[in-house]
Amino acid sequence: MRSTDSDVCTELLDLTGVSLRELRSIRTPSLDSAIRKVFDSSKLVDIDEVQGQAQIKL
Amino acid sequence: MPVELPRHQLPWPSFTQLSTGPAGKLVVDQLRAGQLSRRKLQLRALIELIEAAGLRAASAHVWPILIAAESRNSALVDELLLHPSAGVWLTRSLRKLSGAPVDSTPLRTDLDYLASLTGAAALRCGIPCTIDVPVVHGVATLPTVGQLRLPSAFPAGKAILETAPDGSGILRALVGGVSVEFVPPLPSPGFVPVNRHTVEYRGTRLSVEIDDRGPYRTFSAPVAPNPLDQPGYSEWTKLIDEAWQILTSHYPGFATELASGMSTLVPLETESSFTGASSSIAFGAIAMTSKYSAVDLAEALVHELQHSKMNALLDLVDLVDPNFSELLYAPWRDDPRPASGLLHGIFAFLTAVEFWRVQLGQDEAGGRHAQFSYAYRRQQVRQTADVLLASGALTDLGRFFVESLSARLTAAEDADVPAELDAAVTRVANEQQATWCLRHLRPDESWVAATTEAWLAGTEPPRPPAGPAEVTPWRRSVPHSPRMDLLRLRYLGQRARRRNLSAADLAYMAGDLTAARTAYIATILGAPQDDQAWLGLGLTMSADGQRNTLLTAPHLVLGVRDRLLGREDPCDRPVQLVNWLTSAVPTG
Repeated sequence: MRSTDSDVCTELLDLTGVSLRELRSIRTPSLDSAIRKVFDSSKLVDIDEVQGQAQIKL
Repeated sequence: MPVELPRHQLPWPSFTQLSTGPAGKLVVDQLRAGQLSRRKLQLRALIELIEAAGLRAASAHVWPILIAAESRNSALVDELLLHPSAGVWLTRSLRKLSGAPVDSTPLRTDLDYLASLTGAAALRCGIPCTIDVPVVHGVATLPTVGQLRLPSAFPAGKAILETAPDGSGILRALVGGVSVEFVPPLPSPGFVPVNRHTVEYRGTRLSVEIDDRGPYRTFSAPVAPNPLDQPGYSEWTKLIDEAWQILTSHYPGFATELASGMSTLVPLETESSFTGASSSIAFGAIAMTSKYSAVDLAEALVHELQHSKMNALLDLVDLVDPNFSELLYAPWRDDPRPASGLLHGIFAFLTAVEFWRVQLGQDEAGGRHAQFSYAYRRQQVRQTADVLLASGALTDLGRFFVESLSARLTAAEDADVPAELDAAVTRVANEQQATWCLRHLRPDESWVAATTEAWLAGTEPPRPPAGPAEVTPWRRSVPHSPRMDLLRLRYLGQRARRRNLSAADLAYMAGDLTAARTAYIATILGAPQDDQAWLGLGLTMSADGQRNTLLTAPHLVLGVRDRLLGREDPCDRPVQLVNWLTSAVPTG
């Protein structure tokens, strides 16, 4: 069991503090990799996939 | 600017809170922060793709305006980027630019939505500008602001939006000289502000956009506005208010997370295939049909928000091994599901168990509804949690998460319900799983051949190969049975009539299982290829609590049946065949 003051590390880059002005020009190795990943995942994501409760139809 | 960007950190207490109960505002905010990063990442990817493709996107001229708006009010621009429509737009655009098939909507239509977002930002920040905005299905949409309709006959194209420092605007047609002046949020000819409904009870406030007009509200291709009429809108807000009273009074934790996490409610047509829906690309949006009662709405809102939370969590951490590709049985869906689908269902339907547990005995009229819903969902969640934990699909983090959900279920699943209700739940569950197996599981052909020969020779059946059967989605078309839905509706207290019920089904529904069994056998003797009659036979053969192969492995039984029929065998001893196979096939 982890200690309660630890963090769960994630793979997602934290861009919350990056302004839109910076977003257009910023370039780091991790960002390049993340852009490739988001691009690849956009090819795979089923945009019509929804989570939902099916209707009972009689 | 740092050399390298940091990654999101999810505090361990936040992670555990997500599995042990409703999420507080802090945790929902952490999930939302992840979504904001994801949207920005998508936006950057979109910019690069547009430039790489040499597209002269009309939206390029709006970028400086969006930056100016952010300089003035970054929280507001964040809000726009987090709007559910922005997630759908970004994902669709990226997918289209990647060359993946989407739909027939022109790429330009999707790309130009950036101008719609920018127009909304300029209006709300009081930035004067003149930009082209897209007109789709006859309207120009400014998310979080409203929708404009020019007195023009052109259903699609562009119009010129002029914004003023005081937050007012003018939309002008490119040709014809017509225009619409508007001052948000006041409605005026040609301008309809967004519907925002706010309700507060017991100190907890819910404020949601009721989106009946936005082009991306159904999480897919741009759709035309479908505004509720006044009675329809009033009915929705009345139900929301009543549901909010229920939630804040009896489920304060769920109310808190809804207040923090739900941003948009999308009314769906009653004929929709879903009663409620959410999407991984539209955090905070919940789409649903109108409900029978405020209790139903309250439960559905809680349920759908869990999907949004899970989607946001899965954007942060891997709970499922990305290399695990098996498809599994999820009792709430007809189709085989990936492990992440089971995880979603466990997470969402666990709240249904908790919700209906509190509702048990709340009132006489709804008691039976609550009892059945409670017993039904707890059986499904328990079964699925066990399947997922045994599947090998979970990462270490995922296993911890699901074990925590399982422990939470243990605390919620101990309430008593009448035995006849539990029995009805078991009947529905048995038939659901048997139908799923028949539709999607492929029997081992060599085993089927050997077993058929053994039956014809009067020898013992061979044991089927060890391990799970191969899942081949929709390999067999099995018509939908009315039995399950009629049982569910009966116990949910809803009236239902069904034409063309067979004599066997009628007897089964009436509880006369002996007569039903006789009638199913008669049907099989006349039409041995009737899959539903075989499933019905399996249900009646399990009435005394004995499980049989027709329920646990119907794909094997009917695989043998098909081969027997192919051999010109009349297959006229169905009960004996099932009992014979049950002696060799594990039914546990």
